Amino acid sequence: MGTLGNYLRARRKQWQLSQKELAFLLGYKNESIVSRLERQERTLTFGTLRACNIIFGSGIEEMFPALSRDADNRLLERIHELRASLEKSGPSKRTEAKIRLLQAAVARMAKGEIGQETV
Amino acid sequence: MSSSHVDLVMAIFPNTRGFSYAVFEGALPVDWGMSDVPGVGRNETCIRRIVALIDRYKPDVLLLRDAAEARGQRVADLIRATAGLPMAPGVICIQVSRAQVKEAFGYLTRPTRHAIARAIAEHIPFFEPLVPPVRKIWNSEDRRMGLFDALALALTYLDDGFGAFTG
Repeated sequence: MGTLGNYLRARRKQWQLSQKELAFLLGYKNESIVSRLERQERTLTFGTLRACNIIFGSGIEEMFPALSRDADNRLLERIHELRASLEKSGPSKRTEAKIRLLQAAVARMAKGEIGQETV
Repeated sequence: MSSSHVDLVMAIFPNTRGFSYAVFEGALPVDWGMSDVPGVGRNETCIRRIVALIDRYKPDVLLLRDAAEARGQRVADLIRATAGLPMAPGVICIQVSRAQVKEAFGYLTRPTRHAIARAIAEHIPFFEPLVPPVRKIWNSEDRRMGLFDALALALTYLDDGFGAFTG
């Protein structure tokens, strides 16, 4: 995972797209939005993430590493919190199934080398 | 610094039009461009834009062309002013001479600026559309050549042999 927060600008320039052209592709009227996305001054919507994924063929983790890292770490905290509360509630088949799901989720994150700082 | 940290290398090549820049993360170019600054107060505007770039990328290494080789006094002053900018601790600022660039591209039969630009485009194909045509002696220099000058500085540093500069 790289040092920069996102690689939108690098990908756009690599394909010689202007901010105006990318704004059009992403469905924005104003090119300044692309500038703000590149500077991480604007929150990405699902539609924008999906469009970037399709246009540049890069994964979200690859293109927006900082955003992915933050989201994964926050999710991991919530997984740990829910697991701790399930374990407190006492054993049952339903609880065991939920814990298995959470364990699998953590394993998937570790496998994808995502959110490694806290795994 | 984490083990996954990759050095950010920023090359700035001031020229008569303004300056060009290239930012590499490891061997991967992540940003590049040309900043044309017309009119009076050129150096002040250039410095303002260079500071904005440094603030944005926070490079580990800043590369500049050698001030002694700049043809004009203004460009030499701009290089010295850039080299004198307050940097974050640990940032290395290196002035790269023309001879060092030519040495890094020494495998070319004649390492002219155009031949170097072509070699860079072969190495990083998405720069191919930006390679200017060969300049006729009656033409002024294509502004895109400045971009390849900045890229050449970065690639000279990233070249193994030149790693000795940073120890």
